[in-house]
Amino acid sequence: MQTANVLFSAFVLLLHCLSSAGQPNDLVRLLVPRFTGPAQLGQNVATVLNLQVWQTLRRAPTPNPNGLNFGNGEVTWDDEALSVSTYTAAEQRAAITASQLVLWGEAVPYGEGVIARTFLSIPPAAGGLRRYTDILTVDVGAIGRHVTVSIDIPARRYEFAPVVLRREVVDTYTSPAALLLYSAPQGGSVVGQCGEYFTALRHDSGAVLVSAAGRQGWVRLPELATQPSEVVDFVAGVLRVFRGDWGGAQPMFSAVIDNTHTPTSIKIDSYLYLAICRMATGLDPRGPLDKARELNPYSSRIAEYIILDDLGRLMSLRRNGAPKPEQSAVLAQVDQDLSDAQVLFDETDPFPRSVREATALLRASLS
Amino acid sequence: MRKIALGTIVYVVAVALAGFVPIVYGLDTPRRLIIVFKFSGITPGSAELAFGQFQTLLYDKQLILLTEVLKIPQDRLELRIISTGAPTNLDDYWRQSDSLVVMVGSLFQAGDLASVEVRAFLGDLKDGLATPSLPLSFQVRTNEFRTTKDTYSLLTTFALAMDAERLHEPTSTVIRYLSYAEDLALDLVKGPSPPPEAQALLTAVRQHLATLKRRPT
Repeated sequence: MQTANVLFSAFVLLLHCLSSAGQPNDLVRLLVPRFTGPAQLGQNVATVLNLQVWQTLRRAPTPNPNGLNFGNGEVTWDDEALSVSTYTAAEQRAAITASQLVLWGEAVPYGEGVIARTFLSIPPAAGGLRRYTDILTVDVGAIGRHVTVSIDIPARRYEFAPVVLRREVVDTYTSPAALLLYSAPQGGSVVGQCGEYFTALRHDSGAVLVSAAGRQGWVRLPELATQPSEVVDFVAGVLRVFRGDWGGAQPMFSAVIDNTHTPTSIKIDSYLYLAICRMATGLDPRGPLDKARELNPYSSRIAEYIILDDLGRLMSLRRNGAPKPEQSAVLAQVDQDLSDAQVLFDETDPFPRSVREATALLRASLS
Repeated sequence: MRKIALGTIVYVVAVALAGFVPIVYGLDTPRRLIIVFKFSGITPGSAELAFGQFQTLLYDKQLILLTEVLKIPQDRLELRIISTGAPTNLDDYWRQSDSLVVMVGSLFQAGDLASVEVRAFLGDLKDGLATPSLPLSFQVRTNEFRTTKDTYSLLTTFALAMDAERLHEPTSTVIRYLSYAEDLALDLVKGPSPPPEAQALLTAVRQHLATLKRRPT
């Protein structure tokens, strides 16, 4: 039973309600607008994905010996599809609904069947995400001066591997009454229809208990695609990172990496998110960082993560009063990494400049 | 300091020698167009529908998404579908148009199954490839959608990178495009039905990246 401690609700709210809602600092909200697609198919595909991600939300781990609390998480949906299927449109919708993430897409006929194309937008958001930004910043203080070196999350726009919707899904879920309410997660009888407006209460065995039109019932979530998809695992992992659930995020990203269908770009970023989780919990992130670099040695973002890790290690040595030769060795490594990666950075990129300022300070303090 | 492209010098010399302005595009301006000549073999009915799906999903939408992911202005790439017959000399056409890639192809319909055979012409942007003309063939089927889409994105991004290199854009920009192309090429090569040209493109992308990484900054 996976219902303990799951106190979150998936809200179905009209846009004007969402836009006027206040956003507590620790609230992380994922918006899933209706997918474009024939008849009700886009709506139902979005609903199933919404509930599949919602199932992964948790306020605290079970068991919870350290009394952790990950704050509030929401998966909301919007029965209005994006006006155009673009990242820009998704980011505009995120701003209107005060959402940090938008999972959007389309169900489109192609060849003999229907393809679901799914995208994730993570626009730069104001507030609420301190848990990860703290991890991605190193403050370098020496000889009375101070430099901050910061990097961003791995990426803000994702395209997942398109999936072929199963024939039964296309045939069944094109109808508005397809998502039925049952009296039990398995077996039982039909007690109504899910409809467009519902609140998710808890989940169990691949089904979600919802309240819809004054009635409670279980919605059974079908496998949408003919092959396993990385979408739900990746989005759930990012949500968990944003909420500081480092331990819970790692198995999600490991599942994404283990999925043979996952695009290389998303695999790389899963390694970077694994590195974030390890940095946050005081573990060495070099394992996942090296894996990411093996997959793509020409990514400026991976280079940033490696350099930031080295700088963080150097500052830790300083705090612990490590001998100067040991500090100098790590400083030389930072210099080398930056030199190797210099060609990857734009001239206007503030990152290499801030690293050079930081290393100059540290070099002066060690001389 | 902005470097002067070799093409500009050639152009100026040509003007001086010939005493007229030759119609040659893309000397030191970006090549923007993805030109698709409407495939032959399209008859009204299901074949037209198949081409419509192909065009909308693979060319139109994918181009917009590509500009968004690569963070380039949307007008940097433009799709142009041309309904007249394809030119006999693609090389001449490529040179005299503002095109990044020119695609010509045929669509074959057998019952409910459509398949396409496309020749993608990259002209001088073929750097590192044995030929400027890449033959591609796909079935218009759900389980080939990803391969078809990724091949199209890979070709476009590779040509974009080569054009950026030609225009002496910053090395970091060219690497960014090629790095994106490398991820796509790797997925194609490791995929269930790798198109024959994917390995050649992956090799070309990696050779360029290795050269650029050694370039002094």
